[in-house]
Amino acid sequence: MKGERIMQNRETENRVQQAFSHLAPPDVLESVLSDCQARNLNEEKGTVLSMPEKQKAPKWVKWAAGAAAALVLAAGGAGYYQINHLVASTVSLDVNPSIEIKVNQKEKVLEVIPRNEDAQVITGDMDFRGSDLELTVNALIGSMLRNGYLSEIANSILVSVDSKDSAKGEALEKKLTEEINEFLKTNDFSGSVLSQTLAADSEQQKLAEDYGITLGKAQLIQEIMEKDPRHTFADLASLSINELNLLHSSDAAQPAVMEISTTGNASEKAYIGEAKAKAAALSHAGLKEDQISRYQMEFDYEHGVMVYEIEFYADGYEYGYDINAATGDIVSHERERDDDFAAWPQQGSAAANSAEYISEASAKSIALKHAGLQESSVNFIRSKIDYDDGRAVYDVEFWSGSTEYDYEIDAVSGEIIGYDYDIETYQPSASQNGSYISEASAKSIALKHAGLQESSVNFIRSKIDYDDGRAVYDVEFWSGSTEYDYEIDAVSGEIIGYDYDAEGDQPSSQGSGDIGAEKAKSIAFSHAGVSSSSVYSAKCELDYDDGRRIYEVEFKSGGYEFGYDIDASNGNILQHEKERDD
Amino acid sequence: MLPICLMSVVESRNGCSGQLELWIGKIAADADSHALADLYHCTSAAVYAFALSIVKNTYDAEDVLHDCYVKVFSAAQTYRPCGKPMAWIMAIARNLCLHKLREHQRTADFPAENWEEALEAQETISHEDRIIIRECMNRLSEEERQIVVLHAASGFKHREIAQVLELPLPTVLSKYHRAIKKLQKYL
Repeated sequence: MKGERIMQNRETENRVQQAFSHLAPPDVLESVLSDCQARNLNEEKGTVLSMPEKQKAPKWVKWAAGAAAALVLAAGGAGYYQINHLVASTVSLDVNPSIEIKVNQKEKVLEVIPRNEDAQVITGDMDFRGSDLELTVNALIGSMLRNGYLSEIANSILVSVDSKDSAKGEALEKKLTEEINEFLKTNDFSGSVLSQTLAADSEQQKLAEDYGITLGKAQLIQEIMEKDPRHTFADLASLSINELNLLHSSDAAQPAVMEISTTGNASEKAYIGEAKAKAAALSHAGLKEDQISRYQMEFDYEHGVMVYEIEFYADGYEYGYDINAATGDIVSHERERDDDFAAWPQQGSAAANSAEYISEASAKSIALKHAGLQESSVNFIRSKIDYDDGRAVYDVEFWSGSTEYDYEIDAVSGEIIGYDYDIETYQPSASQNGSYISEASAKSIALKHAGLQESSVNFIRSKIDYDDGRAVYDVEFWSGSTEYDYEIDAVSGEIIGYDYDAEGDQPSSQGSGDIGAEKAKSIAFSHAGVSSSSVYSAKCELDYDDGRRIYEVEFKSGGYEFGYDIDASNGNILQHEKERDD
Repeated sequence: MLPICLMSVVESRNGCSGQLELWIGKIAADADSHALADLYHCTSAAVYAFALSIVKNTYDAEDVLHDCYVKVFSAAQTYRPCGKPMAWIMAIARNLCLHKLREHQRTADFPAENWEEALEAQETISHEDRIIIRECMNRLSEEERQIVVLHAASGFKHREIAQVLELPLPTVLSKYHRAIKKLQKYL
């Protein structure tokens, strides 16, 4: 039965692959090449231009461009007042002190606003009104140096320019960066300047206000999150510009869309140094420098701390370590078989067809033995057989204390192919959550819906996430052998979706009776709390899953899409899902 | 949680994947436009399919395709050779797609989903292909679609997909199987 299903899957896969391979992409090569050439010439001349936009604007934005042009005309005829008193640009400086400077069209200072307590120390009672912007910036940077906010261990400055005229804004950004670099040089200080022009939207503005940071910092954070969405805004908001600079420059291999220019390098002097971190990883792996290859390091922020993320290969395995950058502790590590390693025996498809698999229990005990743990002290999340690249592996996952273990074990040889170990020590900082409900209330909303007590469940995770531009709590927990997964709107507390999975169920004895499709449907409707008259697009099919006969019931009602898997022999709900019907 | 770079892409089906890194190296070293053209010819179909499956309209997919190779050109020097060039390119494409979607959210001028008309116009697409693509577009959720397109159309392994999309591996596996099941039902 399983073999047949795999065959069917393969066939569907092939058909999908065929269909997409026939999809001919439009030929944009010429335009790519000419843009690249233009870019190249500019770089040779030493001018850095932002990424060239594609020449041909999509049709639906053309009218918008016309409308914008009309607006500019209407705003013409600027008088004396506008030139001298209106804010033409806002420049913000972030180190840890965050300072905003508003200037008029002539770049004379209208106002200097300290945005946090540290900034008040810097501005003191200096009055900058009417001064040149550059002088003001130099004075402020000088004060940061004297007061120790810019130092050997934190040398990064973020300059953000918000100007109604974007060309002017970019020119100003460039000029200020040069100016600051020049100033730091004359003060014999090796700094790193990040600069950007702001393109903030209302969402960013709200985040900046909620977290009490400048728009500039909010945009830098979003830029970092764009490149690595694993970070959360709350995490990053608490970091210094120097730490953000390290993350930003460290992720350079994943190019981002918005461009932030950087000069100089962020200071790493607050940390143990790459060499020590590497040594810690090597000693843990029991390897010597000359045994490893393809070594890489980047900075990352994991588990609430800055880490050195180190990767290398040795003897056919890929190793990955996260080392606490301040203390040198190993925060997490993993090792995985390198599939490209030539010396591994090719046992792929032969193994997949073989029936001589080790038992699930032995796979578990292999994993436990390796982890040095007793079965009684861990809590199994799942252990199941899986097909990975045509070979059968057991995927064994369990928790011990706050540590998650994940093993992949060859189902034939019992060899550990990969493992993963993760300390979830991270406590979300008790910082401003704006108008979000607390994590605790998100949990209790989920528990209440599931009809369970906190004491009877085991939380896998609950974290805030951004889904389709809105903040949601993702709450996952186990009760017995059942996994629950809730998505809860972080503002309203509404349950957006949930998912429930009875994993550990033993297949019931086969063929013994069948409840029938109608009965399966009525079980599903009644569980969903909908009447059959309000249901539309209902489907019910008999299927085999892991040797068990199940009814797959799908239907829509009240703007939601429901999916149920129901055991055909006894009517038990094995899995159900509810999703917004888009 | 390893970054994108730990991934390896299955030998892609058009047989030129071995040269991708070589080409990226040439672009990085001498801004070699021939290498860029070769890279484009070899990979643009997969990039376009993936982009279209996310943005769902041909204007944006075309923009992403264009911007993706300009970005590859300008960022080639930051690519660290570790045997996963396709994953790197797809990560760039995905970032650009997400940026597009956010842009539309900001300005509220959503372009129409016009992929269906575009498919009608293409002679290379058979009737059956059209049905399959339509089912992928209509029946699958955003995530399911990205997973299916990366696996079936671009030959990514599940583990690699998990890393590109930042999802846990078991989630990718179950979503993938559910998606294939759904498709089987309608095909």
